[in-house]
Amino acid sequence: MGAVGQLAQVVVAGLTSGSIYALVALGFTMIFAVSGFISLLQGEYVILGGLIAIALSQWLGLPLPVAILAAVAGASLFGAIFQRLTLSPKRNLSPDAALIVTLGGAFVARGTAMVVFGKDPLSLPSFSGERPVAFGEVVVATQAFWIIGTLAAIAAALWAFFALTYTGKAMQACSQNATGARLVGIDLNAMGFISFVASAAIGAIAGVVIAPLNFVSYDEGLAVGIKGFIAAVLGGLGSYPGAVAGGILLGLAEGLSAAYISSQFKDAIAFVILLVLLLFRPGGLWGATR
Amino acid sequence: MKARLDRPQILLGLLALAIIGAFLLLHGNYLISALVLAAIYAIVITGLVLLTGLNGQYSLGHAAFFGIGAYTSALLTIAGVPPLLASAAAIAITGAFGAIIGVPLLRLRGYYLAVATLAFQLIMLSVLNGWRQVTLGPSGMANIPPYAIGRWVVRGESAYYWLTWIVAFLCIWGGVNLWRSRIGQALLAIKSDEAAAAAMGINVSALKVQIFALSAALAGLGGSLYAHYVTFISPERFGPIASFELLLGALLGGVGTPFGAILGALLLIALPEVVAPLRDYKVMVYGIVFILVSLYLPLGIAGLIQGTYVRLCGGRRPGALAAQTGKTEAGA
Repeated sequence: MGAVGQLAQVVVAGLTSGSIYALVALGFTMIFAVSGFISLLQGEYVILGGLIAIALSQWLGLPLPVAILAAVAGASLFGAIFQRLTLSPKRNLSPDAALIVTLGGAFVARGTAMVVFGKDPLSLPSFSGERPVAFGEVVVATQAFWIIGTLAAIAAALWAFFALTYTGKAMQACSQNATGARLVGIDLNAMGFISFVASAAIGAIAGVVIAPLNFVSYDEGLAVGIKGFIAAVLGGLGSYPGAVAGGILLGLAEGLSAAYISSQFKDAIAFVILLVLLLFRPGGLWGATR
Repeated sequence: MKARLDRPQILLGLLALAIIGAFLLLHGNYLISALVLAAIYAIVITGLVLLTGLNGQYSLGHAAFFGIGAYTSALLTIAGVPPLLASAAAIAITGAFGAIIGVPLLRLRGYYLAVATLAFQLIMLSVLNGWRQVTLGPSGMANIPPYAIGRWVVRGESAYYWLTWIVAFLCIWGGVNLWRSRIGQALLAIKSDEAAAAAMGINVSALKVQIFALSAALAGLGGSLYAHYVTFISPERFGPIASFELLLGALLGGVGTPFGAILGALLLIALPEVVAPLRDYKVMVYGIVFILVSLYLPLGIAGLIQGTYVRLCGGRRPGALAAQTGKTEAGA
């Protein structure tokens, strides 16, 4: 394989994992934009979504689409119950306190996943067969198309939601000016709830589409979440296009550095990116507000 | 004159008596070894209490600093460096790590530090596992020499009991003094209103970096003692769950006073015994306890005790302890 082919292969892999980071980053962004805090549950939804889909389709033999829907519903339900029981009754929690509460939630999710699905990493067969597609010398797994396509679909759906629906516009009003939104009669608590559950659903979808490519293990939620957070900060925390761009960029940076610098310290590179970014461009590469 | 139980000098005296009393009572009992671990945790948690209680910051990755301290001490003493010097190196290295992470983050809102410490935790775990040439990877390092101060080699549970509890006592004492000092008051001012503190001439970012570095260094000191006490360390003991447990200990014990660290450490030792029948449900139960404490008991059990004391005995609020906790009661 030539150098160009190898580069193309690395870029495809980077785009694939970048799409997952982007989906997780969208979840962080949504909650941060509406409610102003960081929820550490985002990675747990990815794990819960993946594990529920695997369990239902592999263990119980349900058809894949049903298992996927149930997985997204299950993770969203976890998010909804968590929000209703903890954050919702305490409306004036500081952002730091809310983050700490979601850390507790992340360990509840991890503990639950361990008890229900066991400690062994699990996997799902590809949605469209295991035979990869070849473009010249570049080989692409069919699942990669599903993953990148899912990101495109979610991004389009979010755009339509914010541009076309009343709820979407109300949600944007909350992130622009919470007091103003309340004055014109928008229910901040309801918007907080909707964004929390929607971010859970997006995370679970990411978990379902990545499950055929990576093994899913109950204890990886925080690590996945941190990658998504770095992606969100890269694009400017609170910006939706930024979250997508940040995710892709992080995926590419990781893929390239793993291929050409060192695969052993791949994770460390993401962290160095985070520290450098926060030192010089805390508002993200495109310098969004806050 | 009525004795005031709320004076920190009296509490420190009671703590010293409790340390001596517990030894006399439990001498030769297996509980002594549990108390040695409690003392080590108390040192680490003191750092967390100072960070959160004094300055309103959270570290979700303190087990990483604990681990760096443990590995530093283990590597150096195996190479022949005296333990006392190794401890000093552990303190210096973890403090430096704290400062390096702190400088870019502490100008930003608190939650950036929280998430970055979590990221640091995950990175350190993969470095400890992956850097086999130095850390020996997941199998861990065995045969770490015992602690020694000059010619006195620390051997046996009793010796470690005195070593760790004296260090823990000194850390709490230092914490109490820091709390009451000018710097402590400046940190509390930063916690309640950063802009106002800066306007009064407090060097906000320098102080925030320093308290974070101090907090990391205390974890390094704890880790150094831990390595020599258990003589075997492996990366899994310094992972996210360990960080989570340390923070749980701090919040449960109470971040409104350094004495909360003692309560938190004792609870961390006692909790596994209580939840032992739950086995695999342990992580879930810890998560639930953590959520309940952070929502409904922001000053932890120490805060509960203080509140009860004030209610029963009346009089002024416990001066050095509660009145200066800044926003903790309203916020976290």
